Amino acid sequence: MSIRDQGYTRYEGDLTAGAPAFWVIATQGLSHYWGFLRTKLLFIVMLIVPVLFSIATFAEQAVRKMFGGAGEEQLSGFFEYAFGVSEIWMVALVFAASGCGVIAEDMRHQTIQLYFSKPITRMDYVAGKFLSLVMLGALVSLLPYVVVGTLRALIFIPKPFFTDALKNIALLGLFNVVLLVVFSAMVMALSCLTRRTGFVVLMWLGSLLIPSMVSTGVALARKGEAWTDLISIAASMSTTLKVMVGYTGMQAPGELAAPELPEYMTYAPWGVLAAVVIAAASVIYWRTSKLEGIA
Amino acid sequence: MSSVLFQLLGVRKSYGDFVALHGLDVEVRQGTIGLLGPNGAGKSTLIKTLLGLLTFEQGQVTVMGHRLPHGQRAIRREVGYMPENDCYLPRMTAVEYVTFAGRLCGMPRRDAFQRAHETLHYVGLGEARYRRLGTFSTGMKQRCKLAQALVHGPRLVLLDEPTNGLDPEGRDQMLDLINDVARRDISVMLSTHILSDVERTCERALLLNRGEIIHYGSIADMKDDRKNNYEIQVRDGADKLADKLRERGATIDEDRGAKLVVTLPPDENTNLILRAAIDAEVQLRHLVPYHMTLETAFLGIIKEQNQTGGLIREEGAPEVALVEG
Repeated sequence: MSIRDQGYTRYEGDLTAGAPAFWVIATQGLSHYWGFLRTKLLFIVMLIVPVLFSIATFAEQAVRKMFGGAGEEQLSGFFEYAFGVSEIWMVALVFAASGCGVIAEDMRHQTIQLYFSKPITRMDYVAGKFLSLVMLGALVSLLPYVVVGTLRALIFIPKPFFTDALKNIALLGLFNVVLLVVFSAMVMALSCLTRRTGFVVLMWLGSLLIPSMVSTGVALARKGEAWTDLISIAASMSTTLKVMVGYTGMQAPGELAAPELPEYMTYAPWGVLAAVVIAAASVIYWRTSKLEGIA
Repeated sequence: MSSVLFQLLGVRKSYGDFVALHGLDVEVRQGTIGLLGPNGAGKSTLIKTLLGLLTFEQGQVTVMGHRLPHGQRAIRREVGYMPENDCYLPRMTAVEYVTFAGRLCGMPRRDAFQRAHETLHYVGLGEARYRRLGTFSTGMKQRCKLAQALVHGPRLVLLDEPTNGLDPEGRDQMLDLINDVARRDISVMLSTHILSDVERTCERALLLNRGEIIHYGSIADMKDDRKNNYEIQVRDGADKLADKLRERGATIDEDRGAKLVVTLPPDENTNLILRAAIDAEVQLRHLVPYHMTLETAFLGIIKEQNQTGGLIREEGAPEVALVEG
């Protein structure tokens, strides 16, 4: 017997007692992304990264012991740098696989009509969608960070550089937040430009890979001048990490020390990232200010 | 609690140079209302304005006692909207979709989940509630959209073309459902092109044309307004009879060769037709009262408005506050 036969009654509960709308949108978004088989597969495959870096932590410890305590007094920052760079590409990949439809799908399936016929604001919608991407990225970046960071902190407790190690781990955490904010804003902005998720994926990968290739080409032509990193968002991001953890780069063969980064490179990459976020926010604002017309 | 669903006072909305709503003035009370009008009449603009989705340049809009634009969120808590288009992610199941709609309205997760089940049962999707929406037929999708509009227990539901794309059986079920919703003290505003749907479900109709309200009142009155109509069939000389009738103040609504549909002046009766037939020397073969359908009444009103370019005022009808736009 249907409820209609049993007598349908109006809901008399409190319509302000639920979770905030942005949180409802964010959790629904995450559950939507997690529903894709590719997200789960990618997550499993990416578990290899924290495993490898955990092994590398043990290996680093073993090498230090093998050389009779050489280097026991300092950290190079290379480990954090390498781990951060791997996170850049893990987040990029998971966004390409599952996150690019964040706004595009709503426009294609006209779900925007559903959202805006409910008591939510545009800000709720934007914040919810943004947070859903941040949480998706956090699945593949923050989780490995917590595992590897905890392991390193535990291993380095008796070492003289324990405080430096903790500082680097904290800075890596900060870098994770920056990475998630910048990439989520970029993907969301690109997703605002079209209804076709496939096009967003192409634009997203293109916006990372093409400038990276150009940056590499220019760097080769200019004999590795530091400013060439500013051409690429990924390189700018990894440079900010270099600066944060104090890793200046690999030593060239025959050189006694790695080259120092020019002073402007301590702030210029932040400028690039800030410009990207501002541009992304402008696109998101432009699209969401027109959402009411769509609905 | 006030019985007024919404009140518009001088509401004007334009898109660039195109004026979509020309200073509408109307007060609509609770019940079932059909929103009718040709394409581009302003029906969707009116619905979006009522929901606070569109801003208007002039006038005042009050819905369920909340004034726009500030009362936008309060309005959407009390109003359910079923859009014309599909508006779902195909991977979602029906129960996820309706739960999500409930949570967006501010319901706690547990209540939303429970109400989603109840509402899906109510619209007849109880067995299919764990199926993905992408696998639903058009009729099931329409019912699911109705469920999401009802989940939070609104006092008014705005239904935009709810029978669009449905087969006769599906349409019948949907109209039954709408009638059932209306019986449960929920006001319904049905926007559609299918006049028989309005005739079957609604007590009153709001007619829009070129952004103006050209009629608001009960459907019975709307048809009754044009009750002094007769269908006439003559052997020969229909044109001569038509001329004689016009001379006597009658209007020829339809001229189909030997058949005429005539509206007589309010104080006249069939004697006028008989006198005109004698004067025109034509033989009447058939003279019966013309039964108006909503469609003929609607077309008549639209035609009249297009000819006069003004509003049709309804006088003395209850629940009507029709002011020139």
